[in-house]
Amino acid sequence: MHFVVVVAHPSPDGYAHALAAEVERAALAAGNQVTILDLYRESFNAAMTAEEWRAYAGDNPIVDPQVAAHAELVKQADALVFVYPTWWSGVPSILKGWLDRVLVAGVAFHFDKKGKVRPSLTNVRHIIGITTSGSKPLYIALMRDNGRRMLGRALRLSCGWRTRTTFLSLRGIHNKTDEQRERFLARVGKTIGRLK
Amino acid sequence: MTRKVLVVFAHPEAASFVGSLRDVVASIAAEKRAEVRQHDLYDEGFSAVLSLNEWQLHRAAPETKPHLVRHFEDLQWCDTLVFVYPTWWSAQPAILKAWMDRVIAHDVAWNVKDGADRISPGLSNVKRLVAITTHGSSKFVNVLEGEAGKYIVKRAIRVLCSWRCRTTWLAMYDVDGSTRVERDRFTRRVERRLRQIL
Repeated sequence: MHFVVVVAHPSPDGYAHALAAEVERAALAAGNQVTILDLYRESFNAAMTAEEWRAYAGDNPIVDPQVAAHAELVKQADALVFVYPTWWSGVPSILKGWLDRVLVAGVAFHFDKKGKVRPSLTNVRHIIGITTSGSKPLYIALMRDNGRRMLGRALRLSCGWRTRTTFLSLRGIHNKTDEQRERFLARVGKTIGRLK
Repeated sequence: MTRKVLVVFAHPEAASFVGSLRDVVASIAAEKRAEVRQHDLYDEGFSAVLSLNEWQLHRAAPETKPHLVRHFEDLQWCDTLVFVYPTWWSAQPAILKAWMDRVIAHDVAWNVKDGADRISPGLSNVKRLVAITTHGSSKFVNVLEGEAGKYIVKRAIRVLCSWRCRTTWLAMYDVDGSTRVERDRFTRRVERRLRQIL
């Protein structure tokens, strides 16, 4: 399988990048192909531009070559992996911007003859969310875990019938010991290695 | 009582329908003699990304982020916080999520009490949260999609405000296939509701 791993954390030597490295290691070890999209490192522009907004409903909604390159990868991906910290119960803005700009008509969805929105990501067999959160499980549940909802439901609806979603979250990260972080890393590796 | 209204507007095209809704907020606020401060995030060139430096200063004092101080002051000044934005992928556009990530900061909107392991709310000045937004798809599809943006406002942001804070959700669905008449009807609804609130 081809894994496309989208990483959205500003600190290049932090825990999120360790998680992404573990995803890469485990996926490669299981004989898969991996592409990492490190949004901060690529200085990904998060805000959809006015030009893109005007082109959105047209035949060519992608005007930026960086966005076009990411869109090509998404079209070929068998597994989409998102590694991000949960901020205000949602995804970081840079990841939201990636969804806004890359997952446009012709990539994530298309319009049928009646003009209805139809899913295009039928190539994606797995959506995997890996996130860390400062809050504890009860608080996250009360806030309705909106980042997970967006990826696991809104994005999921653009995929095929058989697409599986998997979420791994380390909650209450500020109180976690190094050992607990190591254990979570191992769990991430094991889960990724098992995907078919 | 004169309302203090902070409007945060996030749309790349001011001449859009969402842009016209921002103008409605301004005109009703003027009619009700409310004080208004406004941030047009695109027009200001607001950075849509929380930087590494800002991340490192996550728990630092607001003064360490002088480039955001005006946003901090306005957020602590208002009693009514109004978001005007299009809903994309079931939530706020990246630039507005970035405003939340960057401006809803430590010792501005929340703090951590000594010895506590969770955050305490800091926006007791905010008595009313308003979201005015449009959705391309139907209410039904949005319910299936989980309405992430709605609950980011109604829960994640709401819990930081005054315990008496009320939220007002003004949403138009199916805007992509809508007619002029339907959009006008929504505009009237926004006007009526804002007249009651402000």
